[in-house]
Amino acid sequence: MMLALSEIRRSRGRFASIIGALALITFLVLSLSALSDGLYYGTTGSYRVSNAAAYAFSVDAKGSLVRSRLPVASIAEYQNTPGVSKASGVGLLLTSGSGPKGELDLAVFGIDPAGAGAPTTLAQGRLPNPGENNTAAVDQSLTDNGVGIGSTLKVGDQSVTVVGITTDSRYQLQPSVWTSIPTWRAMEESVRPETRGLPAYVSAIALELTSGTTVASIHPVIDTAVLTTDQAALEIPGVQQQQSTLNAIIYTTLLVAALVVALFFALVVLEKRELFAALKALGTSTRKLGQGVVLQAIIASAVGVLIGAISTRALGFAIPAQVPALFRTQSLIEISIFTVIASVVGALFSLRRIARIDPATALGGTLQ
Amino acid sequence: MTLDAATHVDPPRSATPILDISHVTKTYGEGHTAVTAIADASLSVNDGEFVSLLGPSGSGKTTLLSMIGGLLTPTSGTISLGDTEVSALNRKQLTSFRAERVGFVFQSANLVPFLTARENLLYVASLPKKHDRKSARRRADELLGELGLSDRASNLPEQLSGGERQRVAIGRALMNDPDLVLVDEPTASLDTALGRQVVELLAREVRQRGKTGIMVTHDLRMVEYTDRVFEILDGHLTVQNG
Repeated sequence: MMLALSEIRRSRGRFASIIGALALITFLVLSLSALSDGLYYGTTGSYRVSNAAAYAFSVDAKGSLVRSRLPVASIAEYQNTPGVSKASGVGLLLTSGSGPKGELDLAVFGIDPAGAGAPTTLAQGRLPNPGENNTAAVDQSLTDNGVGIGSTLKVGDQSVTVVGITTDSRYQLQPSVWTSIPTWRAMEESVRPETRGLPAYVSAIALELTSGTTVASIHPVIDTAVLTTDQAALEIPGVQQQQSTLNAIIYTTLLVAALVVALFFALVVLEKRELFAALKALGTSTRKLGQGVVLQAIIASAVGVLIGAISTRALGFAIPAQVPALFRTQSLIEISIFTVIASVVGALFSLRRIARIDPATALGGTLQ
Repeated sequence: MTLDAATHVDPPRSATPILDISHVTKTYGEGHTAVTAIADASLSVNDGEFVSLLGPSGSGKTTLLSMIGGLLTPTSGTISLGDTEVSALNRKQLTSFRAERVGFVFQSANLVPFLTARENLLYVASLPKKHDRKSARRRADELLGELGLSDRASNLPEQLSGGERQRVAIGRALMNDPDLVLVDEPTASLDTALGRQVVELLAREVRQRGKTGIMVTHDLRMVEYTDRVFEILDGHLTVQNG
């Protein structure tokens, strides 16, 4: 212990290099993770804030709200399905509209405000009242575009008055607009002329279940498939691909951290062969020398990770709001712990090298 | 080979043998390629004696010293220090044996470069299972004082001269009050005058403390400081002046 700590204290320059390398690696991993979290949260918000436990889609939609279309009759069928406490239609229209400061990309949700599928993260104002048309609660990200309570948003020939603000409720990074089903349908007919005159339909059906009922136990209505809300979030096009790509980069970078530390300590041990041989000759156990190296790895990586984490947080305040990055404390703690573990694993590779050093080589110029 | 310098050695202080080496052989390799480093060596050293192992490079003197110090295990034969049969100890036991009962002085001082002179002494004091920090600190200061290093105690090895470093190494060897002090060519990295000073100091410290010491050297001029000389050539041991 004394040896390991004194070495760090007296050879600061050398340890500064490994600490610097680990700080940079941590910074990179945390930034990637923030981007990954930001993309995931921005993409799946409207599901995550929904009060529904499950969604029923048309069978051929493969869990995608955009592709799914169900007749309104299915809503009543689900209301009569055992285990379902509430079933409400949900409509989705990805479109562009105009606000106080011009053109906006929007995800318009038609919902029953008192039913399943309504957002739960109301920060200001209210949701549209049941039966009330041409009003909407909108995602907070729209406030950057000058939208507030009382503003008017126009989609096609329809317009809504904003009556509430919800948080963290975006869909595929587009701000959501939560309005009544008739208003949503009117907007859809306005911007998608081909849907005019079709019999009443919704995109999907949001379900709330009676307590004790699992999603798997629900018997789906014909031509529909039921997914849990979490599964549905992952079925949003691109979500899983984004997650797996970014996670692969993150894990690779952690592997690099382990390699960097392994290489560093391999060099340190190589350089200290003679000293370690002498220390062993003096009666230091291999175990004690190994513990010293592991302790040094823990200290170096902890300091490096701390610096990396602080820099990432600073970056979080500096980057523009348009970048979909989200700095979550949980991710920060997890990744910090993983980086320290990766470093220790890297350092463990030098233990065999230390064990192989023969104390007898401490005597004589060369062994005779 | 003449040994004029060694003609006036002190007689052994006591006649009790503390180190007993009996028919020790060390062979490296097997079959046709086997090399015998030490062939059937027997010697005993009395408690309080300071002896030298004199031989040219490659003679096997370091191998013998390594076996005495528990760094190598003999191929055959026994080595005993007091009641302990060193040659029968396992690796782990040898590690504590070296920490508790042997003091080493290496060719080049081999101090820990990032510990001060004082910390180098305290480090070895922390190795035995039973150790007392407070008395270790006192002892380290005492030793450094005797070795004329009081004002260098807080210096790192790189700030010390070669002679000072070797003096710290002597202090380190004596730190744990060992039964046996083993010295490997202490003058190898020093000039003649400085080498003499260091060996003289070493001999004085070993004698004053009633330690038993063995010094390996190829330098005939250094043996005058020891009580007896064992000469070793091609792995064969002969007693000179015993």
